Amino acid sequence: MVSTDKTYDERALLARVSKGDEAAFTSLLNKHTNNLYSQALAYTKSSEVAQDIVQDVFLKIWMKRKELTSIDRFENYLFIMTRNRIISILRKKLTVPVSDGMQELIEENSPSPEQQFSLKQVESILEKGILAMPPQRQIVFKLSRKEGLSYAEIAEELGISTSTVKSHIVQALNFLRDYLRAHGEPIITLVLLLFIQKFKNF
Amino acid sequence: MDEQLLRNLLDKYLTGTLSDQERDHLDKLLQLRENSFLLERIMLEEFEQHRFEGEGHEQVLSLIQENILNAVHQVRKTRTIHIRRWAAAAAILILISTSYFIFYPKSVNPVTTQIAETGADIAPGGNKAILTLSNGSTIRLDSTSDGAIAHEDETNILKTDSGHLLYQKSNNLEAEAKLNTLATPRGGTFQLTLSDGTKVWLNAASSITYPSSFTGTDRKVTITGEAYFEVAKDRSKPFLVSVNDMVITVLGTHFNINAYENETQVKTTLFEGSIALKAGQYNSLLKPGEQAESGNNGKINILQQDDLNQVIAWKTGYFNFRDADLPTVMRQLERWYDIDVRYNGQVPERRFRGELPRNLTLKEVLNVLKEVKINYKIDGKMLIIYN
Repeated sequence: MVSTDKTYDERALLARVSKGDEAAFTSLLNKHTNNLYSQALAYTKSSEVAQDIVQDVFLKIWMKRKELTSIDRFENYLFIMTRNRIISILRKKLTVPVSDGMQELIEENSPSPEQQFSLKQVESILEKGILAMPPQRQIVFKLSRKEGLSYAEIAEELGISTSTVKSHIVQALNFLRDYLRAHGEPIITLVLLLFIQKFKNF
Repeated sequence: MDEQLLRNLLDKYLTGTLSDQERDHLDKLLQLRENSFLLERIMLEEFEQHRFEGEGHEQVLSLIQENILNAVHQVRKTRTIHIRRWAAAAAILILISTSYFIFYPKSVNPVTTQIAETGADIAPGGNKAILTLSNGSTIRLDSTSDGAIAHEDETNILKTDSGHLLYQKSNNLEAEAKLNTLATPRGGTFQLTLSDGTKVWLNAASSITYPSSFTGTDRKVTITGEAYFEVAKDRSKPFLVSVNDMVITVLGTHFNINAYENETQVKTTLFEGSIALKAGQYNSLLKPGEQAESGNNGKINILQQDDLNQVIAWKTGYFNFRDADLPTVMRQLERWYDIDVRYNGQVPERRFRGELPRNLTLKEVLNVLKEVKINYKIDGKMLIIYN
């Protein structure tokens, strides 16, 4: 079997990591953390939990780095090491009543004066976050959440597949979770957690 | 048939449009084995296609990488201790776990929050220390570059990284012991490797006095403040640590000593190995996981320390509190931010549990206090707490 350049490079990198080469390990991180984090975030809907998952698995991989030389495809290996944890979190989330629609939840909440102040802060940061997204994603997200179009309708309107529309939505939700985390004051993340009780889908 | 249904429901879950009924349905579907396998297949597809990968996560990814590499370094240093700093979120118990704070008040007084006026923010501590050689000359370590910075007889003293001092083993066994002192100011922290390979981490406002090479029948050092040791094994030369009036005898171990003058007791916590403490006429022997507390009356109390992470959180870059009262928290902030804390009125009754990264600025840390309704004011290097 002819190995492509990609697999050869990967094997070489893994060989270096297995010998304890930290620079090689860092390269490995650079290549794979975004993808893993993004999937973990999409399924767990929590930036902190997704962060934990990624950190834990790569530390484990480092501790067991000697095994790396016998691995065929690293992506597969990485997936297998995290899939059960992500799935168990998914299962847990399915047992708790879930709300639908982000916008509605912000409105339906009947806040006390103090809470209301924070609510507005959350909303304003969310708005900024939406504007900070790449154009295509922004459009898809707005059409869905603000205009209330179905994914099929959005797909038709923009001339893309429904599957692409869904990917955009998931990426948008991921983006906003981290945007809030990065730009929210601690008080906002505090308030946000109070919302998460009602906000399961977010 | 079922496959398409499962895919649809899963998509709804991921895109936040799952109704309660659908959620129930998906939950039930996933109880079936073949759907479980299907789920795994779908997820693998998504993973290999990088379906959800996107931009906007630079900050978190950076943090993730940093944490992983820190942990890798810790693992290399302390092989038997698995410290999960990020997971010490017993915190997740508590309201939030952001990279900002994980504090909650045990008792909250219903006082209205008024944001007092504050002065300029104060930066956190960093790698700072002063080395005093046997001839009395001093070297400020934060301003020198890496590499060889001094000699004591034939021992080379090197600065590696930006926070580490290394004494290279000398071949000259005849030399007289030359005493050096490494001291950290408030807001400073430093790491030291002695000529026998023993590693020492100094917290803020601490010091260690030691010979540049160990030529006698034992290895003796003196400390003030707080230090964590990983003593290199050498059965022929016991390692002795002198702190206040106590002497600790060590045989190749890892332990932490907290001996700040303004803390009521000297706390010695053993992580690995075994140590013997002698204070006045009191002798004690510690086993791993035990902590000895010695007060002014010379008595030594031994207790089981089940939160070892908390004891050395400082070394891994965190403040970690377990039911600490406000003054305890403030004393640590004083040392790390080089401030003085005064109380205007009674000291507020609060208990703190949780973890905070030490690289936050003072204001960021104090934002936490606002959450538990504590008013304060920063005036230059003075922090005033109001009740």
